[in-house]
Amino acid sequence: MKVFAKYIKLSPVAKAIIFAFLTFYSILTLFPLIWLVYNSVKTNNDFLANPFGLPQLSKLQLKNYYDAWVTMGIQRFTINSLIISSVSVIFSLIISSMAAYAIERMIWRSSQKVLNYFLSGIMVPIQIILIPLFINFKKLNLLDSRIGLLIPTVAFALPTSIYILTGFYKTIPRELEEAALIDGCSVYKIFYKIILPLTMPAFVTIAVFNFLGAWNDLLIPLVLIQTPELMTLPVGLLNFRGMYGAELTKMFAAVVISAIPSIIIYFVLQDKLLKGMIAGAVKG
Amino acid sequence: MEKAFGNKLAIAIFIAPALILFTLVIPLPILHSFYMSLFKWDMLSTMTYVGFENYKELFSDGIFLSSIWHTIEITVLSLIFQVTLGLFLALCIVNITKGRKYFQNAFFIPNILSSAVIGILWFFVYNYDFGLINSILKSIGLDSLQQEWLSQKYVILALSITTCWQWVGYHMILYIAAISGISQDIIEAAIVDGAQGLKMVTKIIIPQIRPVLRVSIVLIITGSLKYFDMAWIMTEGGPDFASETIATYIYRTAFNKLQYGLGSAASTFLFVVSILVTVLINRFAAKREEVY
Repeated sequence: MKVFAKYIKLSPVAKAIIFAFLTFYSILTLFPLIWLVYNSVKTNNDFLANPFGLPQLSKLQLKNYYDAWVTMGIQRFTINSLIISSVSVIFSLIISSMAAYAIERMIWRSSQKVLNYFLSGIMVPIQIILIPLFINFKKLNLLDSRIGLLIPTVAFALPTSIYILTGFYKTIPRELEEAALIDGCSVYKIFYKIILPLTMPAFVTIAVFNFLGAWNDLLIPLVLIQTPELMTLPVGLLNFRGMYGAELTKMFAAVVISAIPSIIIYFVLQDKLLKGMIAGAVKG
Repeated sequence: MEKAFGNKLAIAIFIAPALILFTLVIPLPILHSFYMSLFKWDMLSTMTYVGFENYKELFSDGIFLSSIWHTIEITVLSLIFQVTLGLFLALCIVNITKGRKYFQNAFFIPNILSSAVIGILWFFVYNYDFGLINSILKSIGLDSLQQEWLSQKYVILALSITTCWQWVGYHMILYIAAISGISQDIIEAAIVDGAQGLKMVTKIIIPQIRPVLRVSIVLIITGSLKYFDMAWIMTEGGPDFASETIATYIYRTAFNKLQYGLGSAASTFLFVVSILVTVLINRFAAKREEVY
């Protein structure tokens, strides 16, 4: 990112005002999260007595985390979310890279039409397909199953993934494929041996983006999963609230636990994630 | 060359998984949803064809009509909050050099959290007895300003503020990328012409980032049309349907009341509106962009 500030000259006073405003607003933004974290180590009574005050160091309730994680089942929801998010990412990468390769690098007449067909899926609100999906999955016995949850999760990841990948494949020089062809490689081998290794940087972007999408999704698992054993974190948290609603500080601990993975992913793979978000948006 | 890359079988093998999965999960259910909207069905009894009865019922249902109104309110508030604040934050951030990274992260962090985390957190922030807002008001002696924030009077505003907290950083990032992409020549020429401060923003920056503004407006509107997560987690559309949106109405009608036909009619309505709105904004904005 270029530094805009280099060619716009602002007076030191103006700069100080901007800086003060940004600092104030960043505290305002982060404070609810800080409040959540420090209340998650209080006892329920301490919280109710003084919801704003800091916890007393002598009475730190780290047990809240143990209870939320082990006794109250957040562990299971986390594992479920990990399974669904990673498996759906793997499938969406395989399927979308194959499709994007066929659309961008193979020669056939309707390729652009097929691309537009996929891209039209970006704007479809998920609510519209939930009722038919629920009814058909019920008939097919796919309700309350991991496979049933994976199918729409992967399908909804396809449009953006295919969009980003076709853009990426445009930049790969044709010569690479031609050389391989002369060496006697088939198209399948070219895709597998030459294109896929080159796709890794784009894969990371899409993987982070889709992983967080699946990790954070509420509506699909809310409709398709009813047994607590298979619930993902967002649905599990709502379920948890229903069951342990009175134990507020344990609830806070559960919320903190489920926020941690997203925050770690963000700080480790920030650049990739932002790239994916900007690319995904600019399609519009 | 042509022969290898025009291999019909290879093309079919590469494209088939995506094409089949996508078609089965998105376009076909949309058609199925429209078909279902012509029937009365609760999954237990047999389906009865009722023509457009469900649509008639839908538009004479006061709760549905108010859910359209709430959805519009949320859309308008979200546009106002997120575009102005996002643009303002972006303009502030591009004008400083120190602390950029920190500010960007601070404003963007809420966007990566799941709506379940955000919804539960803000449910407590707004709580009357032990919520963050009321306890801050109390500790600075403004007890009289304490409110039931998720009450009929304030619930739409409260939900829109939470949504702004969640999304403003995202739009800010888009704007920062767009502003940083404005060519240096344009900025320098504008400075030579004496453009400064507010004039620089309205005459140079906003017209230059117009395409990104359009994208972000489309995203906010389509996002608000399907507004579900926060309303469902924080209030379940309540109190007394005061925060019922089109999306919570669909969910309640289909999955709580088992009126699949009526729910499908509402989803078909939502689908048509989303498409119309997207097409209209893009047409309208594209024309305006030609003028500039």
